[in-house]
Amino acid sequence: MMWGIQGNENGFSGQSVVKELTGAVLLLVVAAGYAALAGGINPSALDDGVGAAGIPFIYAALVGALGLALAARAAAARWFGRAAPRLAGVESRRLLGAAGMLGIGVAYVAVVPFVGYPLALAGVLAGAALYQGERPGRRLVGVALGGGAAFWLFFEGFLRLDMPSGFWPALWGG
Amino acid sequence: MMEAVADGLGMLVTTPIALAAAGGVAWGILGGALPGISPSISMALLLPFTYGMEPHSAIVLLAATYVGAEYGGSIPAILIHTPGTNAAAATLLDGHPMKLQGRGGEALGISLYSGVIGGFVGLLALMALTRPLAELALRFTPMSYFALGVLGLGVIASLAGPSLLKGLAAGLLGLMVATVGADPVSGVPRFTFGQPDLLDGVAPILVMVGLFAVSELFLQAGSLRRRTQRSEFCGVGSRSGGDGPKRRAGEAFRGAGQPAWNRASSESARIRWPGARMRRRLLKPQLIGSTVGTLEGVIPGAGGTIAAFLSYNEARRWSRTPEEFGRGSPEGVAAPETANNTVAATALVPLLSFGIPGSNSAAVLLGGFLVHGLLPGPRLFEENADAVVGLYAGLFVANLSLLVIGGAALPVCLWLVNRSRPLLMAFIYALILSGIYSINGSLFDLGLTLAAGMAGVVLRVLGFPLLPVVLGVVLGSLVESNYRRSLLLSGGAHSIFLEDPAAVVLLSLAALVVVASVGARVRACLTAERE
Repeated sequence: MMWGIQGNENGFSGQSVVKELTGAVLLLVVAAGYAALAGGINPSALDDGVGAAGIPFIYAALVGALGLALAARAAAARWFGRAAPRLAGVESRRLLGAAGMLGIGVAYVAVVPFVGYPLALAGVLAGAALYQGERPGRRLVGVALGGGAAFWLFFEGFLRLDMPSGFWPALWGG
Repeated sequence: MMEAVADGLGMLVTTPIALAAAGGVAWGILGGALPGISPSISMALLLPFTYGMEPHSAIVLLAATYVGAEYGGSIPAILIHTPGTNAAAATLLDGHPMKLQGRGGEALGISLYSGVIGGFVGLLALMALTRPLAELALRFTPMSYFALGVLGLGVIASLAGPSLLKGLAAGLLGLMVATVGADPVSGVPRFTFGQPDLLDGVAPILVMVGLFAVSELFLQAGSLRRRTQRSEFCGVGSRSGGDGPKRRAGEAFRGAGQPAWNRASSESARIRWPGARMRRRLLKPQLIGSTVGTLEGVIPGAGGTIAAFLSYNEARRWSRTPEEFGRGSPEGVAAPETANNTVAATALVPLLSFGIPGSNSAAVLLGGFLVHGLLPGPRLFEENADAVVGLYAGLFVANLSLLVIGGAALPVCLWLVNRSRPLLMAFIYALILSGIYSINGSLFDLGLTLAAGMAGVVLRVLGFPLLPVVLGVVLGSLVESNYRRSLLLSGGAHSIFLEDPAAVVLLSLAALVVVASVGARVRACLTAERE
């Protein structure tokens, strides 16, 4: 038996082993990358005994150690025949689904300075709804444009905040 | 305490906190009623909008949202067998059977009435416990503060998830994020990649909104998309209704993407208040719920869900009619609802006394404090006592207004949740993007929030709890600066931590919590192995 292994009542599933190993690798990569960046921190005449890089090195070492412990736990679970690793298909699909939404957000950040807040936000509304399975059509276009205009009125008109205006002021000669 | 009450009543007249409390409750009920939108997400969605508000009102708005969301979660639990919040899963056990017996309105009334009772008991406990604990913490030295930070991280990492290793790693990842920006001693830039936007570090508000709200939205979007594709693959795709099989198919499709609110009849959309006899019957479960809620609330990491289930079990154990539990017992609704609304107030005890948020919602409230330059903890009572008094007054109004708004908001909840789920999620996404931009007018902040959201998705998929990350981000500066200040005082000798009695007690407690957590897991494994 393996102490402290996370699992359900049926034991440590194959999907869990892959998940644990992926988590361990992630921690090790983060620890290595963070330590490398910490090594590049410039020393200062004002430094104390610990130094600006001192604490980051401690954190990197601890995260690395936890990554190794997680990997050892997963490997031991595999070794003791608790489960056969297999591809975590559901998790991969969840990540891909989330990546699509991230893409919509990144696209918004990229285009909003050029097309302006209401239009870019209408794009987000239409894009995110379509991505999640809303049927395309005039209703969706209407809701997206109306939503973009409503948000713009709320933030610019009611809250008096400066949202990105894009090319519109140039069109009106502003 | 009487002085605080008098000051609080004065603030109700001179500041708009009463309005903020009512608004927060209304928003919280709507958020809580939407399955998948937890109290912390409802609060995180509001967080950017509090930036331009007067500090007292902003904090009350967030705290009142928590109060409203705890009740809101019981609405779908009772009406459609889908808990709106995790804590409402206990309410579902008897609330929905009551609905099936045609007593949905009665169950909603009991839920609301018990929630208000729990809220007031929690507020009294909060007022009684916070000040003495804060006075104790006022004697803390830099060594004690460092130890307090370690204890907070240790407790949360141990209790926040099923794996201690992952909890500790999550806390450390948060601490790593907290090192971004100028070094607290020398001012040397660390991990800024030459970006001036990062010199002040990563604002906790961006991490909170990203980890709690954006990651949940991204994950739900992925799930919704999958279900939709499956429905369409099976030949189910019409959303427009129509006749015969097509209409039925459309309804099936709706069921895949959103809760079946059509099962909530108009009868159950009217709240029925418990009569005098019923109120007497509910006294015992309410006493149990408020006691359990008070105890669980002050323990960081425990939270409303555990309190709700514990109080449900205790109420059944002490009931004269335990056989009714699970079949529509009013006591089974009253106990968990009292407990989770008590927790909505008592979870603020560790936050206000020590500056350590014990739950996701308390972490978001901490974000509200930080946005306005207020640092919860013992000094808050010295430097910004009016913020604490205002919070007490706001919670009082929030619980009172819950009685009125709880009933009035029900038809709005039914309407809102009946909207197309993809459109609803798209609007929430638009709200997040707009809200984050509105804080500093910065697209860089938006990028950071989206990155934090995706990081949250990865961490959740891999089974890492998120609360320790947030706690690490929030406590990182406290831990590092007090550690280094202590070493400056001692000339680099670590023995200074053993010379401070409070630091010794707190560090021992931290070690004890971690060891106890490991022990509990070992025992659980041994038991499972034997069985």
